Amino acid sequence: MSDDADQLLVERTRRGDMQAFEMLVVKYQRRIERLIGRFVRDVDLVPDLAQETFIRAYRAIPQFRGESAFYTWLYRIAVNTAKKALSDMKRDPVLTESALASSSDEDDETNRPRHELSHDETPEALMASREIAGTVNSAIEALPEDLRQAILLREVEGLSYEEIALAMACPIGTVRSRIFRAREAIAVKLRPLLDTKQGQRW
Amino acid sequence: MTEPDLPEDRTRAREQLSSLMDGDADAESVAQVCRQWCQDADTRAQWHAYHLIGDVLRSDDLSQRSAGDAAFLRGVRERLAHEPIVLAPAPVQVPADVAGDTVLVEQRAQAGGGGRSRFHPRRWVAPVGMAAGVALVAGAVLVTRPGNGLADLTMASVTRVEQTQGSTDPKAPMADTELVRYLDAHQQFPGTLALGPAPGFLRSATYEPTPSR
Repeated sequence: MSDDADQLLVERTRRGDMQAFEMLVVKYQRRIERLIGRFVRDVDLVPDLAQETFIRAYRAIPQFRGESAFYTWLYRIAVNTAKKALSDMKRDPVLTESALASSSDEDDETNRPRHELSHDETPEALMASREIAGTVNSAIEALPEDLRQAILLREVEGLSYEEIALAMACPIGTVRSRIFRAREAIAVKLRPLLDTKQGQRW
Repeated sequence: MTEPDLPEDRTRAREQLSSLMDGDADAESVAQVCRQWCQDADTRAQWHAYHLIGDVLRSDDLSQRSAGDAAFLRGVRERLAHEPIVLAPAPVQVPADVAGDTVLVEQRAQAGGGGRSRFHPRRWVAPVGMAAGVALVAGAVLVTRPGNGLADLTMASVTRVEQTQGSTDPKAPMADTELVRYLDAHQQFPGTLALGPAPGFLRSATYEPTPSR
């Protein structure tokens, strides 16, 4: 989202705060898994490589100077991790071509991968995914206009609070409050779906 | 829009989470959220839910991977437990006056045609360290030399006194023959300092020159 949004958590991580790094993991894990899924067809490898990406990022974070956004930096680590895994696989005759994604040179994370069904794509998982997306979208539709506009400007358009305040002609405090209330309203609907999932013990 | 019977402190904690997500939090509230993250499962679950909402709004397919998010974090946490805690060097806060001095020294060095700065603390470290080391070793050798360490000292003093006997300056302290007699009278004590000096001897060695009349 915002280049500066991660700065506080990155700084705390650089000073040894593991909790701050865990918050960054939860924020980016889905995007990193999807990105790695573009390279590696073996779906069982995807979470492992995504974890490896975060461990490498953690080791290297003292060298992160903030010249780019944290996610841009993390993205490159994920791409390098996936490419190294592919290179290792090609040298290992035990692994078959089925482990390799057919379009490994394309690292555009917005493209959907074309590979076999994974555990995330079983009928049950797809149904759960559709349920989550449907719940979020219907909750958005049910929001009052000012709350819906505020959260969409933030999450979809990536505007800062200052920019949203200008766009909506209201104080920044009001923007902050609207976005929070919108998130809460959607989370009230979403949490029951998430909390009942197996393994979702936070 | 929030949960109806949510306690006020819980609502405040979630507000902090929402602000932190958007990079709109101060250092104190970030520290507070990190403490809550450690202790409070609701904070972790809410942080996940808020981010999943954002992900779904941007791209539906990101919700496909949300089923194992908590397990994923546990896996990362287990691996992080085997990693050394990272500590990036913090920038040194130089006081304004010291910083000004540094700039001044640099400007002087540049003004001298790129010559070396006359006062560079690092250049003093090696020579001073070597001198301190030599002094320490010399002192240790002197004290631990068996037998005549003090005798050497005494003889050196006597020699200097004898060398200055012909001095024309009556106020020269080493010209006083009382000192020579005093030291000669105590020749029986050399060596006792290293093995356990008599404090009284050290005290009695204090010399007070007789005022000249």
